[in-house]
Amino acid sequence: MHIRPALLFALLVLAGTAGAADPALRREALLAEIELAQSKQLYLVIDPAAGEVQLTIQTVVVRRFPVEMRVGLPAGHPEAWPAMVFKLHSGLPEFERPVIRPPDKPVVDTRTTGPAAPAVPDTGASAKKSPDDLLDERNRALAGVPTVYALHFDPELDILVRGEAEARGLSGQWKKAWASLGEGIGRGYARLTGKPRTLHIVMKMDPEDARRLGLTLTPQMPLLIRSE
Amino acid sequence: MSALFGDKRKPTAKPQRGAAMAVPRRDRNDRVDQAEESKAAAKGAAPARVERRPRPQRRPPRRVVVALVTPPVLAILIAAVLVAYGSYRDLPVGALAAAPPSEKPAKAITERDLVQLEKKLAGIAPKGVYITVDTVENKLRVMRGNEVLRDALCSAGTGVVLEDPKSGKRWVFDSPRGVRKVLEKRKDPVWTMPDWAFIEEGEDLPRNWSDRIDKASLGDYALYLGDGYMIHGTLYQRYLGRNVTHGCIRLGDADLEFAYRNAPVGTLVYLY
Repeated sequence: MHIRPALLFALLVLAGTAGAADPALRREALLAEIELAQSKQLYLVIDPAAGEVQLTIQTVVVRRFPVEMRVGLPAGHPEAWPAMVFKLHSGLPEFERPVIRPPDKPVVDTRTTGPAAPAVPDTGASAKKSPDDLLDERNRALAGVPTVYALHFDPELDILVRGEAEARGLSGQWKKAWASLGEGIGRGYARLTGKPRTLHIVMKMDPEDARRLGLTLTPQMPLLIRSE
Repeated sequence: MSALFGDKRKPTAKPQRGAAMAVPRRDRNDRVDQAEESKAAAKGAAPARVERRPRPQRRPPRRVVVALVTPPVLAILIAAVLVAYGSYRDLPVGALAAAPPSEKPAKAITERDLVQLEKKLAGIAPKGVYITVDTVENKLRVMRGNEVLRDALCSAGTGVVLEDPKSGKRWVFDSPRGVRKVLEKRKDPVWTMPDWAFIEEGEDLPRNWSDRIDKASLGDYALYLGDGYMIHGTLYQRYLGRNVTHGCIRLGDADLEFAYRNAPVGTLVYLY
């Protein structure tokens, strides 16, 4: 008669402790985040529960990117992250900066210096540009920032950012299916040719957000993955 | 051609080169039937109705079918095998466990330890007023905790590169990223123009320091962030909300005054 309440109590205790995170892991996660927050640099946080990537600095989330995320786990890889904090080492989207040069000097008085030298052909870069011209050039350059790119982190994590508008209509779905078939074949070929298969995250987001995230990234930017 | 399409009937006379190809097959069959009818009429016999032969079934031979079907089937098979071979296990991000702790703690971790660490983390967050600057969307916010005290349009760096062919020097007009502090605040600030301000205009560098002084460009107030970067006013209000500066953050008059009055020296500024 007394066994049943004791058993029930034990089960309740077990259920309670099972839901809580491992204290050692929790401690490790907190220490990692403290170290990042004290570094005074921008860092990314992947929050799976919130479904977003957060651009953070000193624990202040300055920008949130809503994303749909999936993990691609290679065969034989344990179902755990290789680290809590990763560092971006390559794959930053390129931004081709407009270049300007000083404008040519005004024509000098030829009475004292002789005939003027022949005019240098105007290449565009040397002319004094108005803010509107510079803005146009900047916008053109920004339009060239890709919305689909792969970021490579240490240790062994790739993030495939896919800023793609939702496929609409039959042609959109067809293109999407075709692209994913191509990717699948590419992955198979890569494995066949012995290329290393790394753990990766596929992030689907709005194209503008993807471009914005790309512009925010800096070399060696840390990434923290929250796992509850 | 006829063998290819299974038509084994030979023509009665050898056609001119190219003529057989030009005559449609159906016409050629009809012509043969007509020739037999006219032969019967010449012999004096009553023109008996000639029974037309059933046309042979035009089914492509097996090897053609094989030749046509095999490559796409093979390609589909190879693609399917490659896709299967290269596939990853697809899981939600939350499904993966945390990385195991890198070091074993010396003593057992208590709930109190964790609370202390959480307090330490929370203690890093800025206290009081702080400023955030989105240098891509050109927005400046004066914040306290999660409360937005002021949401303003600003202008940040163009990201343009200035190259001076004479000196070989290069300047990148980006706003800084990361955390800075308001180091100093000034009313009616004066700008000491750096070299690039002259080079950009195609002017020679001034010999006298006084020629570098500009009392008009910075507006009524300036908040100094170090390394020559400031939050200041502008003569070009219409460009607010756009990237037109050499790296400083420009604000409209009212927003600048608000920032000047509410952000004391030491205020943290987060630029991203």
